[in-house]
Amino acid sequence: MTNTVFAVGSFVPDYVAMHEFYDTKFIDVEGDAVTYIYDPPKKWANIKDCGNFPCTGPANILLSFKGSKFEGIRPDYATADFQIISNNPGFSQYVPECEFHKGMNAWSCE
Amino acid sequence: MIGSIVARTTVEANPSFVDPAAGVSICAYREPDSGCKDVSVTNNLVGGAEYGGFVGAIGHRCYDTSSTNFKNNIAHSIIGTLSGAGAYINRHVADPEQENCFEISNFKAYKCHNTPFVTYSTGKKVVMSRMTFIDNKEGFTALLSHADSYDEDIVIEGNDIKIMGETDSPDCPINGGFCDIYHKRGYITSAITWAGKAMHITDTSPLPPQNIMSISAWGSKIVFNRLTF
Repeated sequence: MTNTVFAVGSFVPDYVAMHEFYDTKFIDVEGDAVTYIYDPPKKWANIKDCGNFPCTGPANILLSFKGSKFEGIRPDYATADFQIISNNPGFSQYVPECEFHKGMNAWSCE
Repeated sequence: MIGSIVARTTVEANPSFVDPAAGVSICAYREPDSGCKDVSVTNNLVGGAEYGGFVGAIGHRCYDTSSTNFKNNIAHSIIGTLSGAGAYINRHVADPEQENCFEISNFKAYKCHNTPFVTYSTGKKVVMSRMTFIDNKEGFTALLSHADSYDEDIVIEGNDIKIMGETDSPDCPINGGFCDIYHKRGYITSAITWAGKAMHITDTSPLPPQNIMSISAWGSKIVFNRLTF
């Protein structure tokens, strides 16, 4: 079982606005437990929903943290100010100072 | 006062029908209930109810800490068909000012089968404040229904909310008669959509309430201050 602090809604094909978190406090939160961002399901690629390709809502998640504090176990990538973005194959790997985390299927960025 | 709430078993309907239920339904059963006024729901504890602990159009005006519309209530062990929310609270439709901004505050929920808290109301801004959620299956979340998809003044805000995962209370108590282990989440991403949902959803397809089935609005701002995980 992997519990996560943040999760993407199970049906968000269109768009999730940037989430801004200020002065968040993490207590005993391991790195991969911060989130898991799923890839857009292939079944979303149908005429009724998204057409010829899956809608890309989950591929464009941005969680922005500023002024974060940590106690006990903490993500080794996290600092007071950091961001987490989706594993978007056409974008994420080209963003400077971002690191991929397989357990989250997401990237942390400074 | 102590009461026992039991789901009725006498309804005959098609298999997808969900009987409207809740521990406490407040101005919601016949929504939109603009005649529902002067209602105060404070210091209540609901446990083991079906669908929602508190289901109500009973938000208060933003940043009004004196409001007793819905205050200091607790829900736990809420369960239902594709549901089980500690509280599903929307704006109070009898107060037109809440169209611009409404708040839900001072609420706690633990060990709910679905989400501890969800709101999915029409309006321009929702604020969630001073809540505590412990050991629930899904995270809390907020959604707004707003038809103007490019309106950039639509805001979802959360302040001073504590979310705890596991507790000393086990999910598989010895001789407890149940064992529910699942992947738990603290917070589910919020969103603004063109259309919303009823408070008492009576069909399985739209459930749970936070399952988005509408086009997303593009202009929106989602901000959380001082969350603790």
